[in-house]
Parts: sequence; structure tokens; C-alpha cells
Amino acid sequence: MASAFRQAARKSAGRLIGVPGDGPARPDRMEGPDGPEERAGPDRPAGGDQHRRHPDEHPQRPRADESPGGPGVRGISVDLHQVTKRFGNGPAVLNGLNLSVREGEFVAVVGRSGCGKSTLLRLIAGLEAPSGGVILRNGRPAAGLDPSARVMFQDSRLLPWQTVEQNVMLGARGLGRKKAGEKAREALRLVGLEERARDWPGVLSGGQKQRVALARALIGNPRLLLLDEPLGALDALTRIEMQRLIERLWLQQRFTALLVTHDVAEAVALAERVILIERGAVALDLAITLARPRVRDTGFAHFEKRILDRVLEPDDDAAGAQAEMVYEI
Amino acid sequence: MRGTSAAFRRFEPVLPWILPVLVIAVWQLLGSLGFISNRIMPTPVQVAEAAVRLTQSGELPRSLAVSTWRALAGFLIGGSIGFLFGLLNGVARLAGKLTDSSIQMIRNIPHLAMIPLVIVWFGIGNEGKIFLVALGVLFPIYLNTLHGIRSVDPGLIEMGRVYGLGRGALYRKVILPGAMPSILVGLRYALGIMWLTLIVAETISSKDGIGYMAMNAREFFQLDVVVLCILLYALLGKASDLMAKWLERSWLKWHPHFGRPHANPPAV
Repeated sequence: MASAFRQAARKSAGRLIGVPGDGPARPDRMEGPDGPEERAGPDRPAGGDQHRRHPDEHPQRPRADESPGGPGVRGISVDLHQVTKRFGNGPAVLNGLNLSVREGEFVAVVGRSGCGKSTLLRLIAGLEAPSGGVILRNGRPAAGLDPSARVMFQDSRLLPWQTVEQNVMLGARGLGRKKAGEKAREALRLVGLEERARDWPGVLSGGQKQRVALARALIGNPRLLLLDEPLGALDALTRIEMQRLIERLWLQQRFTALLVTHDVAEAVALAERVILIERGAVALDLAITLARPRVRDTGFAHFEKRILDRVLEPDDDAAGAQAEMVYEI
Repeated sequence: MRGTSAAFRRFEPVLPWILPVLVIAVWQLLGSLGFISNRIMPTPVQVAEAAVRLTQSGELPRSLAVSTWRALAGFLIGGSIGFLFGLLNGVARLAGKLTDSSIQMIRNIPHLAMIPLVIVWFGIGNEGKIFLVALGVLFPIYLNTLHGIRSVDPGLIEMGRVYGLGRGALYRKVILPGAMPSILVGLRYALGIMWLTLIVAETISSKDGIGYMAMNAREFFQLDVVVLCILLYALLGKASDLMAKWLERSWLKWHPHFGRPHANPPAV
């Protein structure tokens, strides 16, 4: 089968360039820093995902040392074709956007504020319907909310009238109370907050609240995790901690992750691919080929600079407007 | 500084009672010394004697029971109607369009102005009092339920949808608890209106209850009984306030204003 071949290819390529086998680096996508923009549409092999129909078919925890694309990958693919979104009669927020995310991939979406990156995430989550174009989740047209997808918002959105543990249990619907409680405690242990299980969310710090939100998102073994600037409101130290936590959990569970962020360094630190959205479409699609755990070395700086340069590159009309601004000052 | 706060903490439960006790003491003193004529204002001791006398004759407990029953029945009926309409109009746009403006119009009629009509409709028995109490209680509960539901954080509702909560679970886990602080404000307000309405209704037209007891005593110039009735109102009001506070403390445990930082609910 095609997937078996891909798996083998990844393994050998991984060995060749010295990427650790458990790393998420995708050797078969080593386009390098240059020229990934002209990538073709979805490159998934048809029928390559053997757990497409039953999300709970593999209840055992995927092991970290399984190779990418193998049975450890739980994530689903997401494909967007010519997706357009406008609110009311306003201008199009997204305009003919094409994007394809593979099973278990970690993609970061960056862009200036108001560029439509959050709208993109809400469309994929099913919280909004596109005005035009097609969104496929796992190869099937997306209609409404996907029970195997979880969203983590910038604000934690914990229910203040439920304890931390009850809030986490919200993510484990369908299980019995006892089972859900067990899973909730396990998830809280994973994010290091097991002692706060009986507290109200109101007494937690911002970072702790987001950790609870992360536990709530992960307890249901999501196949698609959508992160809408989840660390935007946190202080620098807590952010780094949270980034490490998210990376570790992604490596363990291999869900598909889509991170919307305005922080380019965060995108480079976490993602396999960084997408820049500009004027409602993908303006840059860059594979981050750094080994994990990622350190902020020259390779890191290279990617960060490349993306930042592109973000800051003035549009023609924007440049004119900027010149005027300077004059007025 | 530390010593002051420790002393403060020890005497804290006593603090609210200092003023009432002082007022009663001064009142008794002025009455006993003859500064206030007993014809105008009985002393606290005389009022206490009246309380004992009426308790022994059974009139006081009977009146109290009748009034409390009327108050609670009216409160339950009016409160339920107000709550249901608030819930319905907060949730369904169509229902809001249909009924909200009518309810607002009725709300602006002073319900006590309907006493003459109520006497004609129901006579001077229980039904009229219950009707008036229900009418008075309905609106604060309605308004606050509606407001509470409309002001639930839409982000939380969206979160609930993302996490697969069905309609029922969404109301039970997100919308109702979110509206609860506002609903309890309405409840507290309604409890005040409940006593006010009942007392006025009983004083104007009744054949039993505390209000009747006061009016009857006035006929015979038993001022001690009249003052006793007035004091009873204060105590009943305080009792319903305590009940509302207790509800707030048990239903809003999570709220930083009402609860303690640690929840420790039974394991679920």
C-alpha cells in the first residue's frame, strides 16, 4: 500500500539526515526553506487512513516512538479548496484560500491581526460556514461541528461554576461518570494540575486556566486540535512552558494540530509547517525542518526571519499609506 | 494592627446587633422615664408582654401561619410564572417578541392599585392576597431571569457547542448556572415585594393574618399589638433575606463574592 511505502521512505530519510525517529520532522517534505509555495493540492494517498471511520477504534495511547504516519497517528486531514468567507455584505475575509493539512501534521497559521486567521480556524472547526468553496475534514465535506475536533480559545472558557475536574470532564462526554472522572484526573496529571482538581477555576492563574483548557481539549482524544491563540494572554515564561507541554502532548498523541498565532517564534517553535495568510489567502507556506526539541539557534532564527520578513514586506498600497503616515507625523 | 484585626474578628458576629439593641434600650428608658406617653408608643417590655399574651391565646401563631402561607403560595405561583417566562423569552426569540412588550406594560401598573378590583373579584379571602403577591413577585423574577440568560457569556455557549453539549445539557450546565447570580438578585428583590404586598393587602381588607391583627388592634387602641406587628414585619423580612443569602451561598459557591476559594464538593 502507498502508506506503507511512505512510512518506509520516511524512516530511511529520517536516518539519513539524523532526525530522531520519534521526532515529528517530515523528511519526505524536506522542501527546504525555499520554494514550498507552489505545493500541489492534497498529497494524501487515497484511503491511506485506516482509522478514518472509527475514531475510538484505537483506544490505546499511541506510543511516542512510533514513526510518523504510522498507526500512532490519530489525526485527520483537513483540505480547503477555494474557500471564501464574508460576513454580511462586507469584504471577503478569506478569498479563495487553498490549504491542505495532513493527518497528524502540526501547522501554524500566522498573519497580521485581522487577516482572517481566526476565521480560518472557526471555519475548520465548523463554528462558521464558508460563503464559498469546500472544506473537507478527513476527506469528507465538513458540515457543522466535528465531534472529533476540539478548539482551545484564547480565553480558557472554563465554566466558573464547575470545579476544575468537572470542567475537564466536559471534554469526555459519552463516557460514564466514573470513567470520565478517572480520565479527567489523568489529563490533569498530564498538565500538572492534579492537586487543583477540586478548586474553582476562578482561583487559578491565567496559565493554569489554559492548562485546564488544554486538559479538557485532550481528554476526549481529539483527532484535530484547533488552537486559537491559546497562549496570547500569558506571560513569557508560562508561554514557553505551555509550548513545551503542547509539543510533548502532540508528539505523544499525534493529533492534527492547527495553531493560530501572531507570534512567529511560537509558530517556528511548534509547527512543522507555517502558513502566512495575507489578504485572505495563503501567502507563504513554509516547512520548518528543524529537529525537536527545538532550540533557538541560527536555524531557528533563519526560519523566524524568513517569515517575519515576509510578514513585514509592505504591499504596494500599504507602502503608499505608510509613506503618507510618516509625512503626517 | 494584628491585635486590632483579631479583636475585630472575635466581635464581628455581634456588630450588626449593637445598633438594634441600643435603640431598644433607649426606647425602653425613654418610655419608663415617662418621656414618651404610653398612649402614643408602648415600651419594648409592653410589646414583649403583648407577644406572650397573643402567643398563649394562639392568635399570634395562627396569624403568622396564615400570612406566611399566603406569602409563600403567592411567591411560588408568581415566581414560577416569572421564571418560566423569563426562561422562555431569554431562549426563544419568537416568544420574546410575542410576550415581552405585554409583560412590560402590565409591569408598569402598580399592582397594589388593583386592590379594589381584587376585592370585587376574590372577596377578602386568601385568593386575593395570593393573586396580588403573585403579581408583585412575577416581574422582578421575570426581568432578572431574562437579563441573566441574555448576559451569559456567548464564548461559554460556543465552548459548550464545540464540546458536544446538546441543547438540554447546554441549558443545564452553561445557561442556567450563568444566569443564576442575576436570578437570585431577582429572588431577593421579590421576597421584599412579597411581604410588602401581603401586608398592604391584609391591612386594607382581610379577616385574618398579621395585617388584620394590626388593624383590629388599632380599633381597640392596643398600640402594643400594633407595634408588635410592625416588629414582626421587620423580623419576617430579615428571615427572608437570610434565606436568600443562604441560597446565594449554596448556589453560587463558585462565585468569588459568595463562596470560599476551595470548593470540595462531594466527589462526582
